[in-house]
Amino acid sequence: MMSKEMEALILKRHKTEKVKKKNQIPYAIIILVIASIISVSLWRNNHSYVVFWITGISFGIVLRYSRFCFAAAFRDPFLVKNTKLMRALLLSLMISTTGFAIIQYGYLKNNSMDYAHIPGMIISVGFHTMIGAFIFGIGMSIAGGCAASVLMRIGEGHVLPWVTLLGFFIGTVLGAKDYSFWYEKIIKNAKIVYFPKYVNLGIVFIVQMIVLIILYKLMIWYQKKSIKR
Amino acid sequence: MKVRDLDCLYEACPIPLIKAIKELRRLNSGDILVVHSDESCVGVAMVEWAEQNNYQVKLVETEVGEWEIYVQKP
Repeated sequence: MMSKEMEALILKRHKTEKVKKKNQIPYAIIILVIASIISVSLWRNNHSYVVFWITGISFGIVLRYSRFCFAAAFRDPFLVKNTKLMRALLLSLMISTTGFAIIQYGYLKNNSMDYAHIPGMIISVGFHTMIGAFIFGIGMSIAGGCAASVLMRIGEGHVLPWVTLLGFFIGTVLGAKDYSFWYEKIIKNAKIVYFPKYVNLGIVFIVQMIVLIILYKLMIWYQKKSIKR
Repeated sequence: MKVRDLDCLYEACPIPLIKAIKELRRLNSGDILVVHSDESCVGVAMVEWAEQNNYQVKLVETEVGEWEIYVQKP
């Protein structure tokens, strides 16, 4: 929707300059060729690297065009009362819950309950998780994006996220260096909670889905409430 | 009717939106705010915010990777 005044202003500002957009298709073709060459050479070395390469590129494309941003998903409900991305995140959690329920059901039917081998990274949760998440949240808000969107911005051609990426490298290296210290002191003592150990996997799945659906409805209600004002 | 330009080039994602909302509060009814931005997310977020709050809005890509967002205060 656009008012007449705005239309006039846009016309006034842009009638003189012809569309000077550069054609970007040649660049796209060059990058596609480079990506194909790399995947062919990866195929010769290790087949699984090709899978990582292609899924990585696909993730990037999907993130770019859907503008899916984890930082915005958690920020927008508070900042501009928009829960669209948060709801998308909840939907993706629902999908992955279903997927992991199927995978873990298949695994648990044939194997014993060994946390280290069950698919889906079953790890301990404790205060350290909360503290880490809080620190990450602060960093994410200042940097304007989480790891995925920082990489996406670099791909879009921004320069500022390179600084964030440097910070990421420093943080990751420091974290890897001191991980054993934190593991011995804190992480080892935290308890692993895996609900299917206590109740049937099916019930766990249904309860988790119900919780996610309630959160989804809550988000819709929150957005409607804040618009009316 | 007044036209106010807001230069938000090189600014990361939520900042242009916050600045624009603050600026719009200061403007009178019928004034037009033009936000200049070079981040793709800003345009989309701005349009979404404007439609949610019943502002007239138009997103124009002036160059590759540069946008102007026109918002009129109702």
